[in-house]
Amino acid sequence: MRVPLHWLREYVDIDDISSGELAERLSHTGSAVDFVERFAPGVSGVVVGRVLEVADVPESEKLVISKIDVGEHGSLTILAGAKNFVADDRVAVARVGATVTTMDGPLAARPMVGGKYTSQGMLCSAHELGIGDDHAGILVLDPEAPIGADVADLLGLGSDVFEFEIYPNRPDQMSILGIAREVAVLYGRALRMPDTSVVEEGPKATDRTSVEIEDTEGCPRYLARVIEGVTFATSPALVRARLSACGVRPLGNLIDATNYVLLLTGQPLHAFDLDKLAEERIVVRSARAGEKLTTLDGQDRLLDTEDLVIADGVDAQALAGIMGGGQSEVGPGTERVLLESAHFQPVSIARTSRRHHLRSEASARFERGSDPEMVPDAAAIAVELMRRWAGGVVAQGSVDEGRAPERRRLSLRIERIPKILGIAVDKGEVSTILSGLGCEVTEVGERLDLTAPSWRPDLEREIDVVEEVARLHGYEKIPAVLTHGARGGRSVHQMLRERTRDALLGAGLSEATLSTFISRDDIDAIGYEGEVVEVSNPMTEDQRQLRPSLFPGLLSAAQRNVAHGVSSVRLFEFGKIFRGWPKDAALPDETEHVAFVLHGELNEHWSLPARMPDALDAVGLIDLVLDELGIEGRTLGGDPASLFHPGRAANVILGEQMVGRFGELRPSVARAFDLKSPVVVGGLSLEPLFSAAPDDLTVRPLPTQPPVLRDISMWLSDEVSAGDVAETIRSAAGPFLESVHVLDEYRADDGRRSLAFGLRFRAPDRTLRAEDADEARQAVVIAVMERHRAEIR
Amino acid sequence: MSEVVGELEQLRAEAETAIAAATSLAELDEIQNRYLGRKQSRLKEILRDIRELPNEEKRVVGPAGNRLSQDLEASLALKRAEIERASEEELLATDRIDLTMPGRTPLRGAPNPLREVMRKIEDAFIGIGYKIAEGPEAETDWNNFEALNTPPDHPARSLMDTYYLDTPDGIPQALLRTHTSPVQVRVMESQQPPIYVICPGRVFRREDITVTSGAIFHQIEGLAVDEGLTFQHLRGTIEVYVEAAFGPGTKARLVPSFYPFTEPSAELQVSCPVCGGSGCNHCAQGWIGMGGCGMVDPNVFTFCGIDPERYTGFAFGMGIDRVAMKRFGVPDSRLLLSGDLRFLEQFRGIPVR
Repeated sequence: MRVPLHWLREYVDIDDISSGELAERLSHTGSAVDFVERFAPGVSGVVVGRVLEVADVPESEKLVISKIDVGEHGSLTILAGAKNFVADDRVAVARVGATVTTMDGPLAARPMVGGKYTSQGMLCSAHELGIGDDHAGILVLDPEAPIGADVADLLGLGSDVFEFEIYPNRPDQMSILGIAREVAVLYGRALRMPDTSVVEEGPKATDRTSVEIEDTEGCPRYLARVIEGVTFATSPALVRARLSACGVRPLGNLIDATNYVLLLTGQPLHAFDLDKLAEERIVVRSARAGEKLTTLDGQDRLLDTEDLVIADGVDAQALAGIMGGGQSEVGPGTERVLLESAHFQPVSIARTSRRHHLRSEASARFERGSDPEMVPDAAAIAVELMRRWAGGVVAQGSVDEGRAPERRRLSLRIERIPKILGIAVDKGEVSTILSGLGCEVTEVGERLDLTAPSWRPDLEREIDVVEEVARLHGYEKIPAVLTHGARGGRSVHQMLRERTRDALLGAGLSEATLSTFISRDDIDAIGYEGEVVEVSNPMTEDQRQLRPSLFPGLLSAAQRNVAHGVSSVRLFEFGKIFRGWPKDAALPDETEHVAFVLHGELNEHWSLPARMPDALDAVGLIDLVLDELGIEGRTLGGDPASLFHPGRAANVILGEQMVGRFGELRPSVARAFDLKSPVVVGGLSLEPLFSAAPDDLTVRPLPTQPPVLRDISMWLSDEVSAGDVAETIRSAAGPFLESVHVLDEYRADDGRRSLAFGLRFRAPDRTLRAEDADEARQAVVIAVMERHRAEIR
Repeated sequence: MSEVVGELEQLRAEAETAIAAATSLAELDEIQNRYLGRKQSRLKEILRDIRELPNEEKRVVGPAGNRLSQDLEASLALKRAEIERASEEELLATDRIDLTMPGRTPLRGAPNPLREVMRKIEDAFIGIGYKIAEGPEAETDWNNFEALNTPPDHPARSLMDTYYLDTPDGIPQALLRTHTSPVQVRVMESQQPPIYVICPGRVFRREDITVTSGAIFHQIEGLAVDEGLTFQHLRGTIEVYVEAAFGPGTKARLVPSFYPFTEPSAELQVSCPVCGGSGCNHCAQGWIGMGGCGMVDPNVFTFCGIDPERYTGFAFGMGIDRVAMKRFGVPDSRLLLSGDLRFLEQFRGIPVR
């Protein structure tokens, strides 16, 4: 909502308040001023002149030469390029040295020579003053405009305009009067209400038309006024200036009158050409099945039977409270006007507006709740403006069907104020605040009984009133006091997540946060064939799916990094993934995962050879995380998913449950993400993973006896895994084996694989003899030979 | 004085002279061998032959011999230490490593700015007794809107353009949460006060992705419900948030605003980190809107089964993306969701204040 201060000050005195202070005060009391800007700031030195004479320039088809009285500066001779003005008209004169606005910016008026004539300035068009598109004709001002007066002052050019952010609960602020009322309360000043008297010299309105409301719930009140004998023309310059300052295009007097009053009072109005209404009457009803309407924006709309329409005796002529129809539009040629001022139910307007994706100044107000008692006043103001601007005769009275809802009554317990705000506010001040807002206030002991003003649909409950007291008393007057809860802290799950995060950061991976939305192509690229959850209204088609895996996002991020010249990509992400809907569940299957990607040459230090990552890096990262979480006994197994290289990937299993998977990508999958192999990814599902983390840790006593070490090297065929051999060693090595680990892997020239294991023996209560260790090693040798056909080296 | 004692004195003089003159550990080894060696040294010979001496002499020669032996050991040890020290100094005088070469830094990842900001705010609230509550990103309409006093036709719904999900037949249409407030609903529906929680998480708004904001955001909301909580406590708690999010010295103020689920409601504004409050093109007259807050609307308590006459409470919510962008001068919101290492690696030394 744009509010020109030049207009606002007609209703409340603000001349002694700077616009900066006013904006600050309003913002601090709930009327948020988004920004302040000056309207048509480029105009200066332009004065009102009276045309003394005007004559064609004989040498030119276009030019006229005029003599203009500009008051104390005498009279000027001015050439003009338009012929739409006559002697005695008031015009805007830019004397030499004045500036006006043009499409290319400000323009200074200079003496101009046309043939043998010299122009001592220029006559301005509306466009040159910044108040409309009209630049063909000279702007003719109000006949009462004082000669010599500054045009900018007269029209409010260069005056500050406040842009307010309107909250959904404050429709009353969507008007000049509403803001004026707020200012009046804040500064304790009088609010001047606009004049609502009408010169009515025509027949009775009820003799000219009738109104029938079929849907009294959707339309509690409908009032029509009639004016006849009007002439459609441009509006006075001041009106056009104000509409322009508010961002509304001037469209001609009959339409401008409705818009002007809408901006002034917040009550939307609509002007119908009465001659175009079948049977010259109004029916407020629901649209009929299949009914169509062409709205003023030129759209043909198929109506829904839940849409409320304003119809004549036959057809729908307007989408009630939202937009009129082109068929009964007023315009040049209109002689008789039916002016609508009505109250509509917010929900009905909101639904229709949403259904047709159609918003207007009117619907914005009706869907938040308009003032039902403003209906007759707004109509009176507007019809009188039409009479003044367009001539004609106003019919007596109005056709007024339905009625305004009762004003709401509510109570405020004074003790609720400190209970909510923490401070007491004096009962007298509370009463003053609420009366200023338009409430009728009755004091009943420690309670105030209130009747809410008709323009404040948001005042329904006690708490709504407490809020009014808080904002007008001033939030800044409420001191800050710290309070605290009882037992705070992270949950076990949250702490384990932090531990996992720190482990991965410490392992040289950076944490990414990536999009939840993902394209179908990316889902297909990783070979995911399970259920997917989709958004029904995505912004673009490639954001329709919710990610069923963290891998595609990480792979795309890796690709982008490579494209930017990052040679080594090591990223991880924590995030939610979505996999279809469990039967009858209210929400989709949503689980939290962590995943990582490794790609590109890993160059730990210049003194070490760079190397490519492989699946063992993934094993190491997974084991690092498990270690940090205190989880032991993981196994690898199952068939890797199709995105993986089948020989370089595995699932991570704890007990019977799969908690994750990792491996190198199948080259074709890497290529789908524009990545060169090898690409290593891995992921873990947090819920099952964290549930395996132990609650306790008990320290083992430090060994008192020395260990005995033995090595075994053996040739193995490629089918035999190191893990299986280690398992065999553990089972065969007897009670003194403390640990076994891989020492070395070696491939001979003929491709044979050799593994060396280190065994550590220890007895808890005595020094182990060399013979004991040798005996155990011999048992191991026999076992690996038997079980794995190992050939001891 | 016996002849033998005289010989011992002579040996002492010889040996001490030799020790003093020695310049290497090898020489000292040779001297040790010569004067104290078990087999060939004259001193050991004397001590071995002592039993053949008369008793009188035994009493003198024995102790004298032993004393000489101990004294020579001590002299040798002193000299040895002296020579070792000298040779160490000589070595250190020339041994050098070029410390301007790159060090062997262990690999380390870069933290995520969103997560770091959240963790800092979480820690601040843990410090004043809050728990951290989380909930699903896909939500029901009830939890996201209706229980928060925002029925289907409420005008506030149009302020939050919502992503809806293709939901199986027979199930009310689910959506992607537009704020983390549904977590508050879940908390209030599952427990009675006192409640002190903060709710960090990812939220979604169906908006065009621009330099300043995307369709995916991260929020932290807070909720306190207890007996006797007032707007004063809201203001005190907001100060904790502001310091954690923006660092000490940031000015903050609350100005009236509107949210369907709080009343009175306020917008949190902080002094602009770019101009410091004097006004620039990043802010409105020196202030930047950084979130909303207010006293929990009694309707919300009623929807969640909490007695609004007995309990009061406050709630607040802030966008973490905006905090990170303002605090670290992030020029484009899309960087936060990019996984771009050139961006992330700049957060290694992220300030703790």
